[in-house]
Amino acid sequence: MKNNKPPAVAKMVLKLMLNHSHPETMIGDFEESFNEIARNRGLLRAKIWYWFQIVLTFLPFMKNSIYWGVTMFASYCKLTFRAINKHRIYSFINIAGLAIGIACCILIVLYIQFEFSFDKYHDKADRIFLLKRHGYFGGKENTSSSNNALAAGFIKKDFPEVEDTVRIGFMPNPAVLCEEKKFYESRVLYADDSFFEFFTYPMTKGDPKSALQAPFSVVITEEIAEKYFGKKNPMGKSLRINNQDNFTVTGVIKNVPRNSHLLFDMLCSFQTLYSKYPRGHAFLNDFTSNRYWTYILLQKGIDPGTLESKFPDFIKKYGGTKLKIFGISMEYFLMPLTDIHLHTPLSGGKTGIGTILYIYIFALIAGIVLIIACINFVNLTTARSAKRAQEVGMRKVLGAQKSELVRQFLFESFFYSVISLLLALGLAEFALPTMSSIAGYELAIDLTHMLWLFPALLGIAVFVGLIAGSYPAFFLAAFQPGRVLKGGTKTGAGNSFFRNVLVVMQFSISVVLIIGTIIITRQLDYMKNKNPGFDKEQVVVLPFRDEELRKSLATIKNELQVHSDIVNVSVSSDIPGQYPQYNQKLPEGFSMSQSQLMYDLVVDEDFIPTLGMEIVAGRNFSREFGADQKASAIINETAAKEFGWENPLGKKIGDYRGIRTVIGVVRDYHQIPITQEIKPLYIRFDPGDVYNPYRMLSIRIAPGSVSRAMKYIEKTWNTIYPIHPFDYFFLDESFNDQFKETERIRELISYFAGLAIFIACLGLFGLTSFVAEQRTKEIGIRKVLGASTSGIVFMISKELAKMIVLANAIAWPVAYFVMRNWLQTFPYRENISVLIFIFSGIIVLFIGLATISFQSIKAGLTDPVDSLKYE
Amino acid sequence: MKYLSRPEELVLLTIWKMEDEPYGVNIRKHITKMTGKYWSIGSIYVPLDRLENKGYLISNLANPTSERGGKSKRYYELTKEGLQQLQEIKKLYQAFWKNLPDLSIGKT
Repeated sequence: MKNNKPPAVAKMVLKLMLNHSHPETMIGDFEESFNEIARNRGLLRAKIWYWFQIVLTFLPFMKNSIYWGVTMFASYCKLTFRAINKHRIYSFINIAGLAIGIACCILIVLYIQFEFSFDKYHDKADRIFLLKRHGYFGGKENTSSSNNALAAGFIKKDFPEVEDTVRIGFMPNPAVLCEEKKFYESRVLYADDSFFEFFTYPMTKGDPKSALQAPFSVVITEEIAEKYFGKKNPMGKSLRINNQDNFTVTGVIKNVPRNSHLLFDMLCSFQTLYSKYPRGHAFLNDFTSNRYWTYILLQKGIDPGTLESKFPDFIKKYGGTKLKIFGISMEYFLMPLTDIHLHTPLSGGKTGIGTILYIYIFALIAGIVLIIACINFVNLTTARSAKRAQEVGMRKVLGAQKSELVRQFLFESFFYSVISLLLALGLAEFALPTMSSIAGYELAIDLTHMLWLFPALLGIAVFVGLIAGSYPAFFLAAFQPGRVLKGGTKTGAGNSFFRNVLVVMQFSISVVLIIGTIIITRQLDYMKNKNPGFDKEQVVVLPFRDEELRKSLATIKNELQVHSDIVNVSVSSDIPGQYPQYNQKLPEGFSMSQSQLMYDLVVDEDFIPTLGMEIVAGRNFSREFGADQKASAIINETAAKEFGWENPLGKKIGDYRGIRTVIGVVRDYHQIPITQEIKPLYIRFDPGDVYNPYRMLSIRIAPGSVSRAMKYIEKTWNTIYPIHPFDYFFLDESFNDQFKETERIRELISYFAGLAIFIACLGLFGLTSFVAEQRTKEIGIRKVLGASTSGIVFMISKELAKMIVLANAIAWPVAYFVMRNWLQTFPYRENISVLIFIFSGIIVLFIGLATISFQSIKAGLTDPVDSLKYE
Repeated sequence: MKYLSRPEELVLLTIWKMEDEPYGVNIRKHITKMTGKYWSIGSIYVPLDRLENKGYLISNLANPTSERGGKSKRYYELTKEGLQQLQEIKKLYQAFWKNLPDLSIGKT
């Protein structure tokens, strides 16, 4: 009888899969069966048979492993639940602390991700660049996004690397009219017809290539279409803007997503400007003017640096002579589309930190909060597990394997961290509205767009869970039952150093954040309460948005001024809190090449009295002096100082409107936001300037009669301007808008401070209960030896107090350094007072002591009999 | 009473019932014949092992034979607990199957 054997591989596989207690006999049986079949039906049949066996065995093997896996899982779960229930407070603290930390992280990540997502939705985003201008005007440095209207065309012509250019212009809050519906729109732009070649805005009606070609065409968003036309098709219909021009609707696009640096509702064709001003106005034809934004689309594969290197020659070619005359030096550089939101503040003129710096700071804070929470988690877990030495001992006695215990502890801590993770998601979802309002965007946890989020969070949970679990898992599980049950192990006392380091670290971070919050709040209050140099109370402002309104200016002023509740009325191009036109002036004694940049404010004779500014030299404008409207100017103190004029009255200043003589000096006031230094200001009484016309009607109302006055004002407006919607705001509110960003930051930091303290106290609470229990015997002995309850409390508190003092010692220099740097970005600020630091330290001390008070008092009150009993 | 899985139950019964050598190959042959289904190596040996671990079966090596290339066969037999398990199962089934209502069609 031939002895055929199945191949060794097959035998090995079966051995492995079946994990039999008696593998040799099983293999023997296997061989016998194989032999029999080989004898009866041939070797081939036998081979098929043994393959068959392997496959068939595989399935139950899998089923078995899964079954066992699930059973073990179920048993671990049961044990974990029991553990959680037994120490409910501790479990809650542990899970809550980690959950809060992760939730913070999630919220910050959502915010950061949104900020980074700006403008990425355009198909050609990686080839689009904004042309930015950096230069020196009259010796002063200036960086801006605004350029002239000519560069775009020349660039496209001269540089083959450039595929296309597009210009954007801003229409200041026009009044839009359509049949019966009239509204003010604030997001209206002019754009070249190449706009849709650049930016991806799906057009639901109309042809993107031709929509913006003809002058007086407008492309609107679906929202606008619905607003003005309801369900009807808007194509071909007309919208009347500023009661001057009729625009034809040539296209409808989907609403612009929130994460765009350029937000708009209507796009008017750029060609319109050429048709409107057929005589070619300076701002369209002057290379040194700067009203428009220019974007450049590079050919594929072109590096922006190569284009940038060609700009100096370009500028010399087209602007060389004129720029030299005015002493302007200018250079162009390209900013990638996706960088714009983060690196350029849109509000004109403000240089310096963009959003990106704040993002880094928030990311840092979120990271710190998360790290604290994780370390807390690890620490609390290890602290608590030391108490379970007895449990471990018992289980080992009853036959538990070390590997099983290791797995149990790891599973437990992993389970905790997964629960924290789920709780964190819930908390984050709950806190979304608050976070959205702080951030200024609607944020949402959108898993479809954030596929990386869940794995990343899971990764954190696993990582933290494993680290936390590894101490009890490996250290405890290795205990010998005998020693442990006798109570002779030193349960992690060596870790007290690490624990104290943690407490100190947490509290110093809390102190830094508290100091930060206080200082920011003080700076905000300082700026809000600082005397702005004029009287911003009791003034209501009506924006003027078109020529028609200006024609009836005298009428409305007269009508308003007669009312007893109205003290004064004036018009101006801008109100305090806004950035007026910033252009070149030629003061007496300066040569052409030393032209000075000044803010240029156009007002009437009532402006200074209405707003309560003070004339410190000379006089205000007046109708009695006929020359005032053509030849007089008022400057502020800063201007006089910068020009080196001790006696400014009578000096001359020239600009695009001609030469004017200084007839008065106004006391410095905050025209531009307080976050900037006061710059030289040039004020003229010039109703005839069409480039910089009157845009704001300011009305000072007598105290106590606001509602009555407002009714009259509205009635007067509607009588004189029936077509234009009545729109108004109060000066003090709009002036305070400049603080919004700082307030947002303050809100965020204060939330973080609160969270940091909360997490620190959670950790402290958990740790203290553990430590107090550890030292039950010690305290019992002390009491026996005569210590009083208050003595015990004092002793425990003293140790915490020492740690908090150390925390402060670390925190104060850090906070001082950071806040001083932040404060220095504000030209108007208070000094940092030492009291702030002391106050923060005391608060933290108080909170810390309060947290441990429960434990320490309980420890102090325990009867020594109880604590020494179990010896 | 801990429930046995179907295969485990059938394996136990087979061992009880069979009259020739109660080792793997034979057990497989018998159970295949009785149930009419095909039983693979794994589907026999896994229950055999588990039943032995649970204490319902006891096994011992027989003498080596040349037929199997020097390897001995392992005989399984029921233990007292194994017998007990089967009796309990039988009792359980009998309790369930007793006095079942007649489900034939036609009865209202």
